[in-house]
Amino acid sequence: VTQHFHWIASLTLAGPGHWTGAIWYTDGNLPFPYRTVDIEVTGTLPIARTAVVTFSGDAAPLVRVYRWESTAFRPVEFEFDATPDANPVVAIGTHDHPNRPPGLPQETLSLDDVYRRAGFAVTKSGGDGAIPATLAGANGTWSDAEMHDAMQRFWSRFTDAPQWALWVLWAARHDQGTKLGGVMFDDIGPNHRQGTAIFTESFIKNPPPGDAAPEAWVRRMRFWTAAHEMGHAFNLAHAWQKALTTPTGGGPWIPQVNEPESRSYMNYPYNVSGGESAFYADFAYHFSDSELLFLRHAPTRFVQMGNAEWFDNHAFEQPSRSGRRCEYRLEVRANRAKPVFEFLEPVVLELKLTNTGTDPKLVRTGVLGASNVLAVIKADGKPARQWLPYAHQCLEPAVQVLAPGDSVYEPLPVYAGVNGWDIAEPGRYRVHVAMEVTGETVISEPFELRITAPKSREEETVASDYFTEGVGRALYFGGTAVLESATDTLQDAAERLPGSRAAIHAKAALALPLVKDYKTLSIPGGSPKLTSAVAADAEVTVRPAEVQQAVAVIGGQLGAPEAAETLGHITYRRSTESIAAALADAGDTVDAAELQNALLDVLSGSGVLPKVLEEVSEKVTDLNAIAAKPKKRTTRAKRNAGA
Amino acid sequence: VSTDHIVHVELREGWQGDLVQVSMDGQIRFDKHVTTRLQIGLADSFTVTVDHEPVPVEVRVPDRGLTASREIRLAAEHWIGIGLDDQGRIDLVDQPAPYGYL
Repeated sequence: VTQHFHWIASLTLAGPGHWTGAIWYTDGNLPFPYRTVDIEVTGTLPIARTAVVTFSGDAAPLVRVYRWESTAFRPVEFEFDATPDANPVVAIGTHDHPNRPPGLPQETLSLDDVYRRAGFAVTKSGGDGAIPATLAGANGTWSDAEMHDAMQRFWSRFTDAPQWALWVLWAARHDQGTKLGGVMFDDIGPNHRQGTAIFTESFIKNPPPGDAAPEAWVRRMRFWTAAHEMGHAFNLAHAWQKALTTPTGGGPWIPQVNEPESRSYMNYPYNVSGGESAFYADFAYHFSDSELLFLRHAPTRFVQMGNAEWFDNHAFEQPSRSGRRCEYRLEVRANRAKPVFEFLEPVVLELKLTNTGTDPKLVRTGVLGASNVLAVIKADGKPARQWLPYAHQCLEPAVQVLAPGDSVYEPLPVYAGVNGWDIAEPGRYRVHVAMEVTGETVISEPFELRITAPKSREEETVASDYFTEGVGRALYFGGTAVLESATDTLQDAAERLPGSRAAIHAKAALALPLVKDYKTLSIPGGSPKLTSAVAADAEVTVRPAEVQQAVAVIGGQLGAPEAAETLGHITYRRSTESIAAALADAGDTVDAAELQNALLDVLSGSGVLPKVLEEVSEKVTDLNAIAAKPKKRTTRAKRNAGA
Repeated sequence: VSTDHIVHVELREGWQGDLVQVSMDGQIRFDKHVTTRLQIGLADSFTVTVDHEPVPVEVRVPDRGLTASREIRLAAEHWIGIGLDDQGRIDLVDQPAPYGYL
């Protein structure tokens, strides 16, 4: 076994220090070939303890020896900040209020204790402090965005990455008013569940009329609310939402049943039978068993802050389940027979939006552009990530008619974005896409793809320089004349991996900047702090097109069906026609016609729409007609000849 | 009884992009697609003033073919909660005190 597996077994005592049981949950990229475990623990002092674990099942038994490491299942670090108008309660006396379970131990219980007992090694960051109430803005109440901003500014541990750390804000009130007692506000951005808030001046400060100990009631309610909101940051759902599934097929990490009567931090006290009085009469300050199982044993990514999205190992929160018949269909697909991509091959998918209604529809031009779609990528064994493209386009508003049954198409270059290379490592991935079309939310079926393992040591060597931001940008923007390191890496990939799909992308990125005049903004070195390009004596230089060199780099590959598959039909056509047009503009209409004809040949065998073939064919005819005429030099041809 | 009543209507659990229409006295007061924010169990809310009680309240979820209606007695300030229960039925409740969300 060379992969990391997460497994859970139900154990029974088989003798002193000896347990056996069946494995009922596994998590990993490969099938786990074992079904039972036998565990023998030796040693008395914790530090000297070892556990010999024997796995049995469909493979030969496997024995592993584990040394004692910790009394906790997981670490977690808390930081509490408060506004001056808030009244934090981080500990209470369990007997302060007379309405309690008869056998409840009397003690001072802190929020740290609550999570320590749930299985965490709780530490504090040392950064607890006050934050100005003025950050809540002129209205004096907090929005989710204001809290998220405050978290980034005041939390000493804030980072855009998963970590076992949580920021807790105590404030007076949320923008929603006194009805909101607290919220795990951080479902913003790519790293959810890092921050949670308690609003101490909301309804939770109002004891029931006639309560026997109103002050203790309020302290207990504020304390309970904090434990509750912190629970959401550990990805715990409300007690009555345990079985809730989403329309994309996601759901709880294991089958669950709702617990509407549970005496847990994750239930609402006033929603149980008998109301909050009945709740607290039987509340022993702990989570339910199913919640403890999740907190202690679920895969790290489901629980850890900043990892799996809120309420989700579902990967994708479905924005719509209206039941109304949607009149669009959105498909994600790859231009190849099987959705298998080579290692290092940039994954370019294709989006297809179809009008499935009976009436023509007006849709925005460029409706499938990267700025208009939400793509989420879920690798096996990893949290879902939203694809964040390198660029967004602002287009002049325009619409086009989409007749019933008609479709529009766009490439979806999901391999990399400002998140980095979201699809790079070998393994399986699922891609969902959602978008809004004329007020309707349209969601694709998940598209599954696989990245194969490296075929050679050469590929592994290239990979270390290849999966970088510079190379990602160079590929996305169709080459660069500025990012020299990225250009060098692409050159290296093209030379060292001939015949690979990665080499086709690399050559395209190397060739495309050469087909037209290329403007570069040059700023003199050693300039003082830049106030403007003009002030720094910057200069725009234009490097003339070098079309023949572009053809020398890529030309031979543009007639191969592999180029159409890996670049995607749309990008392949655009790139090839761009070079053919540049050739024609330079006066080389014969080569231009030949290239356009090669494009037609490849697309004819690729199952593209007849309309596309007609358009490509017309250009072949036009170029052949021009080539047959007596030569008349174009401006560029004259310039290339030094005229 | 003719006096002003402040009515807070809160769309709560169970909504996933559903179009919800709420009418009072036969007049549509709310007509929106709503999605429950799961960490607080609340999707949307609105407040209206009505000058009499009881008031007939009708909730329609046209895409699911659901309708629920009830005549509600109102306190001077009143709260109505509307959700979808586990069985996909409209849950229409009310009380003369605020609901709390956590």
